[in-house]
Amino acid sequence: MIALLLALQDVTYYRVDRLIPIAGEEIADAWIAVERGKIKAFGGADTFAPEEGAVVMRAAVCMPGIVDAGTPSNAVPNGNEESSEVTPAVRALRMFDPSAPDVQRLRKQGVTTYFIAPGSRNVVGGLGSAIKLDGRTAEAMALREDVTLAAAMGRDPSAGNWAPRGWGSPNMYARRPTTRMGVVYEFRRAFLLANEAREAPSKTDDPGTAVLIRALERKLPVRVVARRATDIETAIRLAREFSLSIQIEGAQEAGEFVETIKTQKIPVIFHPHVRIDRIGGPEGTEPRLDTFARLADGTVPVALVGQGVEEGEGPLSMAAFLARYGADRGALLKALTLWPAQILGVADRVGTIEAGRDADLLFLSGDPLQATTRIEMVMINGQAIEGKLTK
Amino acid sequence: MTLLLLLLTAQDVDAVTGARIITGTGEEIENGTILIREGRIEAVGAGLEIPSNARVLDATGLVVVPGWIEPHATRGIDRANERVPSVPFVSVYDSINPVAPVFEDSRRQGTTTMFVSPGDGGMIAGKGVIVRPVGLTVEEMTVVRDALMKLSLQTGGGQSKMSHLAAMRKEFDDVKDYLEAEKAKKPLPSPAKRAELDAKKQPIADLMAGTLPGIVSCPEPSDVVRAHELATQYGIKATYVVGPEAWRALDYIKKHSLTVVLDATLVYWDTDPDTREQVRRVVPKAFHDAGVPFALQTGNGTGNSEMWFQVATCVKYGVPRDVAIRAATLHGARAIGQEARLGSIEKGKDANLQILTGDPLDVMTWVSKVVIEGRLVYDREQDAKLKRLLGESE
Repeated sequence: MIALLLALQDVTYYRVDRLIPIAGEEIADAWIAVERGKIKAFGGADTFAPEEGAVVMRAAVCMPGIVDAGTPSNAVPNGNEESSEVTPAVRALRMFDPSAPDVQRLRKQGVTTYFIAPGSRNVVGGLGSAIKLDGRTAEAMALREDVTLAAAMGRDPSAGNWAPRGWGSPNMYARRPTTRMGVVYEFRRAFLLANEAREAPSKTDDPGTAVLIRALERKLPVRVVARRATDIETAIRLAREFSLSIQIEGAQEAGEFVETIKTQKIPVIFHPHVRIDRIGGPEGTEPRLDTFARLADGTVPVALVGQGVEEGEGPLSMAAFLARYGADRGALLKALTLWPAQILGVADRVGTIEAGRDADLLFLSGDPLQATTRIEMVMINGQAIEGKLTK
Repeated sequence: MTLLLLLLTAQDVDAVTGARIITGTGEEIENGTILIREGRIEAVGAGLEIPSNARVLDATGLVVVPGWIEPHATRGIDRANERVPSVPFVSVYDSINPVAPVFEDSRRQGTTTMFVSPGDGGMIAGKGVIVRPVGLTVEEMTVVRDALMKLSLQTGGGQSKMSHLAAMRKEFDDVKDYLEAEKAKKPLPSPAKRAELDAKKQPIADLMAGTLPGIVSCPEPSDVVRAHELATQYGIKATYVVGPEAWRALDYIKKHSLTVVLDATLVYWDTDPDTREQVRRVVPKAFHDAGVPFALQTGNGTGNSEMWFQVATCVKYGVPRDVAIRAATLHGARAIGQEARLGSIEKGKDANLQILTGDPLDVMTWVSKVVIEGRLVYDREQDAKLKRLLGESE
């Protein structure tokens, strides 16, 4: 009897006006049951049969927690290990601070799974990991480690560097690539040397080489920051040269490569430009507002990323603006949940409402793609972390 | 002057019909009509008789809202401020760039009036101009020239508030002393003789006489108190453009019934010093809960650069819909002294309208047309830039 009562305590039911499972059709007048941190079951009102005495909470809309696969520069610290321009073995997870204010701010924006990675200042920056935004230590929060190897094309790894001059020894700014061709050189050099080491391994090979070899063997995808069309083209070309499995991050000017991206099945982590009145992004990329819509037809996963933690900058706001600019609702909702989960390799745990998935859920006051909708409660692993609902 | 007359007589819309009209007074009219004469609203209501020769804008299935009012726009001019802190004699009339993108973008977003102002980086920063965001010359654009004097309590260049405020008081005291000396010598100068006051003193004299209103930037909550004390001491009729933390001064603002324009940042994060908990501060909700009216402005961030988004943000966090809409229309008009003429769809006011494809707070809604003083100044069907951005022109 006591065991039964305890078992009853473990299950909480939520009655909602609309359930968005992502993995299936949206259900009006629905319910979802959470048990011990996992999604137990869900369905339409006609199948709602809670046990006697079970806790039933109410909300307007329920959807999976947002999986933010991006690395915006002003959120949780994104470091660049600038002692060298190629640092494949450093792990961003090691410098992640769970008490950073942005962890809470992201969570309150509805982000439940996040991605911690080195920044784009290095040509090859190191290893990124997926984390859940609930926990006290980086270890406790890690969902999947070493998801991708960070790389960058274009201005980020080259602008701000200058050629060594005079007699002084080179410093960290005065020896790194200063141009796009220098960036490509460093990238190719790193992978060519790793290829040689692959054929003639040596005990003195540094840990970075081992990481690059895993990338060459397609066991580790390379996530390349490339915003401008030329940089996206370069990334695709380099991937072909070294048979790398790549993902493209940024992708503001990917509109010119939509067919190639779809044919080669390159996942995209899309940093949207949403302002009509000005050229956007760190490289002044062409402000086409329909790029996401053209990329996100379901052929490749496209992750939509928040652009900051202030009002109007989070992933839901980005999705609302892109809906305005003509993107498909279903694609936008997938781009916040399932597709980034697939890109991060964690879709077996998060990103959809299915029995057995982690109970990472958002409860909203209305349609997720409206600017007037508020997040009422954020749940991670079955725990209400932010906000609360009423019975 | 001739150009101005051409604009006024260029009304090309006599009636807007068939729309859901959100008047901005709290009243909504289904299937309504707006009759326009000489650029002004002649009548608003359902089932109105339309003159047979009227040029009709059929707005069936659409929503009409008063054009947004931007009460504090510091863009569209070449530089925000002069380097010299006290320049009461300058006016943005001389620096407005009619082809600056901000005016076209404002029309696209449904804004029909903007108070173009010097920036926050001065002290007595010069006079701003109320414009309609359409026209090839500043004269064509101007609704009210030199409408308000921009003042600012924002300090810069290593200066502290002590010297900033002392310097401001000195500017006012110098003119006050001069006027009193003149008054002591002979009868007060007649309006014709006021031209004899030099260009620097005249605007400050007008400020203190209340004939030239002021608009004061108050970045910090305590600046509101200081600015109000300054205004009271020198007889200045002021609107207060406050910073995001102004909710901390709500008691004072309410007590003195100050006219307030909120910062473009309506929601921001605060860190609780003890728990390190991230607290969301929602400024318009705090003002509404305290019963203090406010006007909105747009900013330079993602999202807050569009007025509909500012209104939606207010509603998101619990400000009633009609209050939020009023904050972007009538209260903005009041902040710049134009509530008799602008800010709502009522008989006698300028026919400044935005015609929307749907509810103003719905993200899927676009501005279809904009009418300023009865003249069609924006049509989404003709918006080549927007079509290109949305990939519609292929």
